[in-house]
Amino acid sequence: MTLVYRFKKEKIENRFVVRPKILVTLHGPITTLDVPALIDSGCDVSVIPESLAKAIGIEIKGNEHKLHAFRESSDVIETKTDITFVGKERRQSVTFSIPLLVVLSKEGQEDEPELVLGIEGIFDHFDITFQKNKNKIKLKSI
Amino acid sequence: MAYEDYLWYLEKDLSTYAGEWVAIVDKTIVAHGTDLKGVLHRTKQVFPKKKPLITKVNNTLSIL
Repeated sequence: MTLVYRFKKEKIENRFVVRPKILVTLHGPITTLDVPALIDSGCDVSVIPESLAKAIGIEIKGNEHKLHAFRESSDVIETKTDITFVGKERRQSVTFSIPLLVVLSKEGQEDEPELVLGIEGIFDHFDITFQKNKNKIKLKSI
Repeated sequence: MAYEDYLWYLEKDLSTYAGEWVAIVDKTIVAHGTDLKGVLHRTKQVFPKKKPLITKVNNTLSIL
């Protein structure tokens, strides 16, 4: 079973960037949400902004950590949730639980990160191929 | 409709909503704003039985 997605062209600061965005459904205690997610082989673990985690009902409690990125760090809470990798046909979709870090919002800070899917708990389930020249991201179930 | 809305989202220039949360239902932007809770509330009021595609529109280059 192979799920196929595409890159998203985005206009940022007067230039275009291309990002691998795949379609997932996040499952929480309150509700589920369909969300495009950035898939990132350079990210150790998946991260979700606090507002999105709260929207699906994830409790913001658990082990606290620091998430380090380029010259900055954020406070995060360790949790996990079920996620569905949505296929073009419903029967293609794949659901399992992944570890997740909730990035806590800083007071007075409006800008939140997007949902980023990292290696832990995901790259063990799929062989992932990025084909920018063909505008395809392929997730082949292992 | 989730996959169809995803394909529509991929093609759509959303830069006018940079920094905001956007709700997409049936290939249409039905709500947007910096407060996700408000965006979801407004979407549910108008489309109580629809499942929106929710996305945060990037406004910065990123290094993760």
